Amino acid sequence: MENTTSRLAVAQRLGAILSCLGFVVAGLSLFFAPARAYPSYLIGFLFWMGLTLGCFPILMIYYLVGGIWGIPVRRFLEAGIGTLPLMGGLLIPLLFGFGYLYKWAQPKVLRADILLQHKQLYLNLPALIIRMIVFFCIWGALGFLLLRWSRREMTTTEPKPLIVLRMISAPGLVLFALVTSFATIDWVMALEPDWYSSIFPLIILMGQILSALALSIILSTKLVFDPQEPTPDQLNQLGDLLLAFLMLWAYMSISQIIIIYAGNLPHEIVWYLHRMRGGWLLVSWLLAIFAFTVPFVLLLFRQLKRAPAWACAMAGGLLIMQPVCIFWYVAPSFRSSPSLDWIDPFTFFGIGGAWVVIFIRRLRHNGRFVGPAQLA
Amino acid sequence: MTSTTAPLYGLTARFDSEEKLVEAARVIFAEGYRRIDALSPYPIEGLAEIIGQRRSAAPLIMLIGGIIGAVTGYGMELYAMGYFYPLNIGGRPLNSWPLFIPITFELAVLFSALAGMVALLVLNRLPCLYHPLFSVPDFQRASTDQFFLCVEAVDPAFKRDHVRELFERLNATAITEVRTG
Repeated sequence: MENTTSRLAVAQRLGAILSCLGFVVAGLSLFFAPARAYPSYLIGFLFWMGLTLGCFPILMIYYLVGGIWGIPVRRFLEAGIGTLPLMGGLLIPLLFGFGYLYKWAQPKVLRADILLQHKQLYLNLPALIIRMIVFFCIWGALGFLLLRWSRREMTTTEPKPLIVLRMISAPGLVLFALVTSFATIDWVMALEPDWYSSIFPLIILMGQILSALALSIILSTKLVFDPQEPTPDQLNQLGDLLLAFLMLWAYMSISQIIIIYAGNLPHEIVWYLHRMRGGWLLVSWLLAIFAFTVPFVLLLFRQLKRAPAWACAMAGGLLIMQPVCIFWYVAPSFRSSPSLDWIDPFTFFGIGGAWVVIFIRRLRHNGRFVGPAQLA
Repeated sequence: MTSTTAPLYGLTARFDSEEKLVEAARVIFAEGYRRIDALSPYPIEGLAEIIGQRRSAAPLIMLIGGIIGAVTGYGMELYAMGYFYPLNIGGRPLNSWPLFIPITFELAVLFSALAGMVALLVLNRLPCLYHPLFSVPDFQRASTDQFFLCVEAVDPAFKRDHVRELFERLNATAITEVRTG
């Protein structure tokens, strides 16, 4: 316990330093080199926002289906939800840079593109700002309700809070999936405004769930708040869940390729063409191997899932691949070959540092409500 | 039904509670017996480990089945589309791998499931229409309210009187010598 507390303090200090350094550099570059800095900022924002958003569905699924797997990760998921206000604040700089990111926000491109003019009814700045406010209000309300009733559930033995949590989670999951889909359309799919794929928002959502689940598995084996560590059975179930979401992610990704490949329509294939040119094809194959094949094969083995060190390593590998994935979704729309801008690490770790600081704050705050938080 | 001259199959004990069965299984295993079988109306957690259950070969067989299925699926498509009857569809390459994935996946699942079913039957030595244990009195109660433990005579350590003595000490409700045939 004491060891955990001191490690958290170190991580928090490190996060604070990183975020200060990152934000100074990111702020300056957003101001002086916006065309280069905004894509970097978007990549960083999307990864950490995904980590926050990924916590919602896992927690709601846990309340709905129960099981022993939720106990070791629950507190981390709740702390992740607690970072939502921070991410809402970090969205604001993006709103000023839409002209650098999205073609629909560039008047010159817009005048020449009839298709885009027709899409203006949806893709315009006032509508987008209203959408963002609505989305964050819905996420915020959902998060507030989940955290509030969870706290009550931990301090009482009455069944009522659990029933309420279930009543929130069932419609909450549906609402969350819809809102997150629309947000993803605005943030990622609109980067190539001619292109659309109805399964793409769900692919992004699966990535978010994967990163949140992977992070909470790692933390559950490293930071022990409860007297006991996660049991092999709990780790096994968490590993199974990770495998399930990984397969769902791959299934959707490959469905999208098959449908677009079979259809062979110019406005659809452009997205893949941008991700095959230059060295991007190599990155695509690296993702296929290291973001799916290797973890998939490893996660099949029961003994590996049950061993804390292996569970942690497999979750860590998946977590590391997620920023690469997001990089692959976003960057090819701006860069013709896969290269890291020197601004990229600053925005990524700047946002990440702030995320870690708030996350640990929430974790310590919620840590006081340790109780027999078990679901039957 | 049971002839006394047929070779001995093993010795069974009937117990009236889960706890007694688990305790008996633990003692019998500790005494060095390995060819043990336990029968209970419902799964008892940890019992399989106590009587020394080995890891099943079924997952490996299913994996091999799956790999054979995947290779068959992809090979069939590549052979048909690429060599036997090459078709130019919208200028796509003859080896259009994205479109071959669904069939490859389906056949992998199909072969794996079939291999799993065959493995299930073979590894469990099914179908089995008669088993020596069927002649144990009240054996049908293994599926309602009684618990049975059987030590087979093929166990190299098998000593009939020693097993009987152990069973008696472990509060067995009934002890039966089971003969084959």
